[in-house]
Amino acid sequence: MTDNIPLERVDSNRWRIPQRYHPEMRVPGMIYADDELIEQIKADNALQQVVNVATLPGIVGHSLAMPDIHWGYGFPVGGVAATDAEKGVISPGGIGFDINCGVRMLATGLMRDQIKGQVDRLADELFTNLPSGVGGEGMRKLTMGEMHQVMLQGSAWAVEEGYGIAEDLEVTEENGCLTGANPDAVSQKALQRGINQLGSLGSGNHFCEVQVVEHIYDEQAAKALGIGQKGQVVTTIHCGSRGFGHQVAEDFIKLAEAKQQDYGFQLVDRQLACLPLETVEGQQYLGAMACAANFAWANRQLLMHGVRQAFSAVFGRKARAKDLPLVYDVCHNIAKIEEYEVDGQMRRLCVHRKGATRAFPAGHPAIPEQYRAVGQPVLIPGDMGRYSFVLVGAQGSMERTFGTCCHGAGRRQSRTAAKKSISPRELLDQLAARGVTIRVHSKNLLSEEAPQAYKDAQKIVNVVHNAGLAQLVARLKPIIVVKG
Amino acid sequence: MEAAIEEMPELPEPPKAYEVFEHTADVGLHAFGHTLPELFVHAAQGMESLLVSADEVHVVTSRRITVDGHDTISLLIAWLNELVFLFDTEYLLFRDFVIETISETQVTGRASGEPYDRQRHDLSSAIKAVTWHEAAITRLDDGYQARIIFDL
Repeated sequence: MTDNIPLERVDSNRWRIPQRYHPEMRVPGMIYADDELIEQIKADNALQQVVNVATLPGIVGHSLAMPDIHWGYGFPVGGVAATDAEKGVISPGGIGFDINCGVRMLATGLMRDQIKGQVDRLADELFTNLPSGVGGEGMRKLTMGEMHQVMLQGSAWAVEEGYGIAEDLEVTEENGCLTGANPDAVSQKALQRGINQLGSLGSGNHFCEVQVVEHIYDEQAAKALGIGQKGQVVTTIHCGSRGFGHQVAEDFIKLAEAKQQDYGFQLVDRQLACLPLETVEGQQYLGAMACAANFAWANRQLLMHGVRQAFSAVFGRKARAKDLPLVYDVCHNIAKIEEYEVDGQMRRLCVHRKGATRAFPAGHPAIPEQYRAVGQPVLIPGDMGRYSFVLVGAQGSMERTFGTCCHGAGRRQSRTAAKKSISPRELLDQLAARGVTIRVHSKNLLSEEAPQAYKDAQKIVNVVHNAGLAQLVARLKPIIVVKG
Repeated sequence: MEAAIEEMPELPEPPKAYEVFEHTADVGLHAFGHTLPELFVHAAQGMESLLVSADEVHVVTSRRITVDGHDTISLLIAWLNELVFLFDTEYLLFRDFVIETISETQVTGRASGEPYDRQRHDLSSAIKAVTWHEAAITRLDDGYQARIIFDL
């Protein structure tokens, strides 16, 4: 559908959309993909969206796209854009509705053989402990006072309340709390959506998976991350800020859209509506976004507590909290103010990551001390039938992608097409044959998430590895999947 | 700049209230109406149809909805987003809609339905939000067509 957009090959993993393609582009586009993936990317409107993002006022460098990009709304999913932190803009749609949607993984000391006879019981415990599905309330109903503290403190609030241990904070991006949270910038409607939903998975592509380390690419890094044994059991949670974040996004996209004329912007897609960072509204969005990001971290912290309880119920003393350490928690829908060298000068930039993961290389001061020698852990869920990946950030990300790499497999098929291509029954049988135990509320929704609806995550991570954005550490195979 | 969107379909014969179209990660809706109130009703019906079939929804309660916007498309997005909000906070599924008043900047209507019941309602999607991506209301010879993409 985007055959008319010119693509210049830069090398075997990069393609450029020249700035001359359209007069409103302020920077060129740069897509990370190999020959096979670029053909899949051309199949929908994602490349047009890379072009659209290149028109944002104050954009710096390139409008970037990771190998898992697909057609989103406004930004492509898998899109990255850095704008000048003083003179540039922030686009609430460029962070997306699920603010701080992210992934966390905890290790266990258990090996696959040790859990063999208990898989069904563990799956049941997880399904009971983790509220999921549409219309599901969270583990913890909040008072408005508590909601205020969640917005300000994020994960730390959860740990204080007994959901987790202090060590969890050290291995969470931003220590589980984005500074600058401003609850006054959050609407009553957002609060109403948030107070009942803390500690819930929701539905869609969110999940909790028990996985087994299937292959280790980098023994030293895997050991540093505490996942150094083949056959070791780990657990991954993928979730975000639920209705709270959706409402914050909606409120500010509406506000930005109404003010585009005042700012003198005429953007090519209304979903890109943006706020100059130096305006009151721009700062208010940053403050509200931080509240939603902190809510999401607290949410994943509660869910992880539920996972630890499930393991403890099944495996007793072998599965206390300190035996199930958090490896890392990353966000993949967020904007961050970070510093990068651009044309020989250090600049403060607002990095929008819409379906993209921070991937800082070894030595970066933002990385927890225990990982500083190997790089920031990067968690890449694949699909529920095949595999997921653990990587660590590499130097190339600082030089080329504002410290960023991909976030997942990326959809290949629409939800409707996925539903048509496989029945829930067939899918369950297929997954059972692959040794995956499923617990799901809506079998209808399960087909939307069928493995064949996604690109092959191995191909995605190979590109970011070969392009020097991140390095492969381990491949994980799912054995239990819990979904809404 | 023209986004590479698919051709707008002809108004189907006999005229449809709405039709769903595909998007890689999400789903879109074309709604049709002879008048703006009818367009708003059909768009709401179309969106609710993504959640659950209308014949599964009984009318046991209703909500009066008033939303503001700065133009017609922002009004339509706000109207639909209010239904998402009511599902998220009160778990309400709606079947019937009435638009009472509509101006350039405000719409008031009523939505009737019932709370979601996990035992009885087989949900086929969950909607996070109504997006502005390629959102448009087009004048047709005999009415209006709206194009809306949802974030699922």
